[in-house]
Amino acid sequence: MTRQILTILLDNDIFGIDVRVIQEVIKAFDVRRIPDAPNFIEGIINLRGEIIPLIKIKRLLETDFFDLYKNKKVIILNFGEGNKIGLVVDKVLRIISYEDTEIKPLETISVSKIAEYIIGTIERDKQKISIIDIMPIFYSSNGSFLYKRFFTKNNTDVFISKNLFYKIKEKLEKINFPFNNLTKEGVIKYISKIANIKGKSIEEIIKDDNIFSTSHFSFNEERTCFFENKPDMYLIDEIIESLVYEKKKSINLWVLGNPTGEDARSIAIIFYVYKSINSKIRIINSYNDYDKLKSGLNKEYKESYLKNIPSSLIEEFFENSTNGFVLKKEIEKTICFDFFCPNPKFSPSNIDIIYAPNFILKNFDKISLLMNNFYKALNKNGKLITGLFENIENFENRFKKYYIKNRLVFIKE
Amino acid sequence: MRIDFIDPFLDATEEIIREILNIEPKRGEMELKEQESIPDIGVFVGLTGQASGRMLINFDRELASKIIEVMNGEQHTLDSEMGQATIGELGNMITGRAITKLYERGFHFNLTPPSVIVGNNVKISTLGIETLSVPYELEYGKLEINISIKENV
Amino acid sequence: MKIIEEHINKKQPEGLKPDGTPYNILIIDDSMFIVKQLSQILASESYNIIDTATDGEEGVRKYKELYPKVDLVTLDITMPKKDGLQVLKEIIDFDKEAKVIIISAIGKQDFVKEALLLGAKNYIVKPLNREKVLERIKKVLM
Repeated sequence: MTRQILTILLDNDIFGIDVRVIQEVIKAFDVRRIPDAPNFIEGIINLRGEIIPLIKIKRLLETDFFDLYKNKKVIILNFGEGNKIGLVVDKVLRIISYEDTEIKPLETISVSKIAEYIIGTIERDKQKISIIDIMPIFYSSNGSFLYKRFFTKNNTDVFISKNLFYKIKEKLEKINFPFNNLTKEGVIKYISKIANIKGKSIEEIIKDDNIFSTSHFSFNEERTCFFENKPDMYLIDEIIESLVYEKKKSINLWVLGNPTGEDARSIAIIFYVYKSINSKIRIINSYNDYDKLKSGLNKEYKESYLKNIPSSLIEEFFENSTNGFVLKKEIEKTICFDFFCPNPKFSPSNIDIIYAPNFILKNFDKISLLMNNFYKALNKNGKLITGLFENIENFENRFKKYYIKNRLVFIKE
Repeated sequence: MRIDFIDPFLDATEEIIREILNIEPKRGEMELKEQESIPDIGVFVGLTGQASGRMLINFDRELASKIIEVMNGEQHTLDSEMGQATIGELGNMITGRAITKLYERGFHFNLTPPSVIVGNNVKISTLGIETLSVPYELEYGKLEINISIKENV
Repeated sequence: MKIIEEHINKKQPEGLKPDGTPYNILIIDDSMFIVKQLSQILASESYNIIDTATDGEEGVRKYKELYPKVDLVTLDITMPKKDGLQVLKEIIDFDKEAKVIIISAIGKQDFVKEALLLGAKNYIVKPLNREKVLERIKKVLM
C-alpha cells in the first residue's frame, strides 16, 4: 500500500511522520510557559483561538539530541476528538510517498526509547529515513490520550505515605545525598519535582535505580562531559538568546561549582552555536580550591567526554592535541579561571547570569556571605540559576522567582 | 582572583625561597581577605601596567632574621638599614620573577621600588581591591604573601 | 722552581687591566643590599668600585663628573625618581662608548630587548650569582 510521510530533521537524522495526522506546519511563536511542567513540554500556543500544547519530541523520546538549534518549526498534529499537539522539530523537509514493501526493519538493537516507536527505515536519494509510529507515542493501547494530565493545573500539595518516605530516605542515604540539609517537606518536594520533570509518578521514581544515579542526585563537582546537565544548558541558552537579542555590548557570566571547567566550556560553546555575536563574552569560572582549578586549565579531553556533542560540530569547536581534544583558542579565551571563596567584600561585578548548581550547598556555612556576593555581582535583571536542590528550600528572599523553560530562576530586580 | 595572576606569584615565591634559603616552603590554605596585618616585618612592592595593585609579603621575626643572615653572610637586626634593605631586595626579586612569568603568559606588568614596614601588628587594608592571602610554613618560621590586583579594563 | 711556577700560574685577577691598574666600576642601585653584594663580588677580583649612586639622577651626574674614568656601569632598572632606562639613555647620549650592564629582578624579553637597543651591553637577572656576574662583566670589558 502507498503511504505518505512528512520528513523532518532531528539533529542529523531524518524521520518521517504519517501525513494523515498532520494539520499544518508553522514557525514556533509566542509560546507561553507553564511552570512546573515536565521538561519535554515547551509550553502552549494560541493558534487562531485554539490552545495547543507544544511538545519537544527530542526530549519526549529521551534521546541524546543536541537541542541548541535556533528557528525551530512546529508541526500541528490533529488526532481528532479535539486532541491536538504541536511537535517542535529542527527542520521540516518534504512529503514523500513510499510503499509498505520498501520498509526495512531496524538493523541494530537500540536501547534508546525512540527505537520503540520506529516502524522501520526506507531509503531516498541515498539517505536513510526512519518512519515514526506516531500513535503509540501519544495514545495508550486502550485509546486514551496520554498527555492530557500535564495540561491541567498541578496540585502543589503532595502527600506520601510514611512507608514511601522511608523508602526514599533509604535510597538517598545509599547515594550520600545531603539528605540532612533538607527538611522532610523539602525531600518530598524534591522528589515530586523530579517526578514531574520526568513525567512519571513518585512511585515509579522510587523504583527506578537509574534515576538515582543521574545528575539530579549527584552533588559531585566533577563533570566528566560537556553539556552533562542539558536542561540547565538549554535554560542558559534561552537567557543568552534574550541578551543577544538586546544587543548588549558585553555579556558576563559567573559559573561556580565545577573547578575543571566543563560547565564554563559548555556555555562558551553555546555562544559559538550562534555563529555571529557582536557582544563581548566573558565567562568567569570560579571555585574555592586552587589546585582543582589549576587542573582544569588547558584541559585536554578524550572523545568520550564529548559524547553529548554531535560529531559534525566537534570540528567546529575543538582542536586535536596530544591527549585528545582541546577547545579552540577563540572559545577558550572567553573563559577565565578564578579563585573565589565567599567573603564579606569581593565579588565580580556587572554579571548577567550566575550559574552555581550546588555551590550554595557546598558552602552552606557561609551562605549569607555567598548570597551577598551573588546579589552584589548581578546587574539589574541579572539571573541566578541554582541547582534543583537549592530551589526547593528558601535560601533567599531578596531575589524574585521566575519560571523560564519551566525552571525556577532567581532574578535581581 | 584569576589564577593566571596567582600562579606566577606563588611559583616565584617558592622558587626564590628555594634558591636563596635552600629549603622547601609548604603552602597553606589560601583565602580572600579584606585586611592584612603585618606582625613583625613586611615588604611592599607596587604593581602597575595591565593591572594595578601590590604585593605584600609578611615575615615573622624569626624567619626574617634568618633570611637576613643567609643573604648577607652575617646578622643584622630588623631595624637596621642593611636588614631592611635585604628584606626589600627579597620582595623585589620575588615580584620581579613573578612579573617575568606573567609576561611569558602575555600579561604586561611592571613593579615599583619596594618599601619595608617594621611594626607590631600593623593593619593594612586595600580599599576596593581584592586581596588573596597565601600562607607558607618554612623550617625557620612563617611567611604570608598577599596579592592585591585589580585589572585595568 | 716551585715558587716561580706558583707565581706564573697564579691567575691574574679579572679586575685588573693589562697594565695592572684596576677597572673602575660605577654602581647605580637604590638597594643597599645589592650595592654591598656587587661590591663584594667585584672587589674579590680586584675591580675598583669608583663610586655608587642610589638614584638615577645622582648616577648620571656622577658618570659625567668622573668621565672618562668609569670603565663600566651597573644599572638597576627599577629605581625611584628616574626610571632606569631613562638613565641608560642619558648616559649613552653623553658618552656613546659607555659600557652599561643592566641588573634587574625582571627578566622580561621586551625589557631586555629595549635595554639592549638603547645601548646596554648586557643584562643580568637577580638573584646575583658570583660566576654569572663576573663572566658577564668580563665579556663586556673585553
